[in-house]
Amino acid sequence: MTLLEACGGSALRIQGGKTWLRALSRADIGPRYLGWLNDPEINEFTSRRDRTYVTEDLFAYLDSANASDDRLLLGIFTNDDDMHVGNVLLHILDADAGVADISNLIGEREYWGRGIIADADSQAIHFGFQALGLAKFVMGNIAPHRASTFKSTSLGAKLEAKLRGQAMFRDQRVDVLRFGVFPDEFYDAHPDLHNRITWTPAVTLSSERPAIGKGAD
Amino acid sequence: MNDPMPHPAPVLVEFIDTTYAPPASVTNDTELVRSEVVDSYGILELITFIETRFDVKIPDEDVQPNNFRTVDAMCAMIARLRSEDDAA
Repeated sequence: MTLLEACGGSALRIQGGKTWLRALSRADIGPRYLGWLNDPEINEFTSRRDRTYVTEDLFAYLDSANASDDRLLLGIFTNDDDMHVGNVLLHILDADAGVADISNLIGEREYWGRGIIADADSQAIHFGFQALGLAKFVMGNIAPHRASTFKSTSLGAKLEAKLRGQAMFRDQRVDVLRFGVFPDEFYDAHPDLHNRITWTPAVTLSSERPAIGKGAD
Repeated sequence: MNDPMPHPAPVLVEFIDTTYAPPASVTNDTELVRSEVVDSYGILELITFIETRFDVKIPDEDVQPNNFRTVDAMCAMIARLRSEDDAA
């Protein structure tokens, strides 16, 4: 069983204050989405910045994520107009330890600075802790990407490591920052989410966590 | 004589009011993060402004909501960074 199927498949919907999240299909991929990945400004701080993508790359990425037993790729849609503005990826790194990485992309620049990422990430993390029974989320960014640093700490995450000169940015060697957040830290920062069910259908895999990410069928 | 390093609070209030145009002028204890006057992208302008105007370098460890929660919190961070600079 894929992680997406375990989470309700295409029926999964996670509702936030500004955004809602659902799985993506090939029908969601078009010129606008492709344009996000080939926009230098949008990808300035990411490893995508030096690549050019074609539609087939997106199909392959989407198909791979949806068939995976340890990755959950969700589109971010705005509550106001149901517009697909970006994606969030939850990647279970260690199923036994319950550790997952979270990363995101907001492709629609007009939605930057509106709290969209913070809302989407907090909903995905809340789902991960409560529905998937995960124990810790990790995330990272290059040090010059201070908006991402602030976003991570706003989620309650703590700076756990500074990997010196681990990446190149604008022809300079820069540090990579790694953050981590446990449930108590996350809910201290988001008390409004504590014990709230924000997703449908009902998904409670907590007691089955050993199956997640291990190719269970 | 002009003070080259004025108290940060009124300077920050003016910058925030001008840059983010909150519904009402902020005060020293207005919750800027919780009320979403400043978000993760807005913080970039604020960090750049503070570093340039007050001649401090905000380390990665200080890029966190508690230090930008209010104008008072930013003033406390600036004072601490200045004192650390002086001690170095």
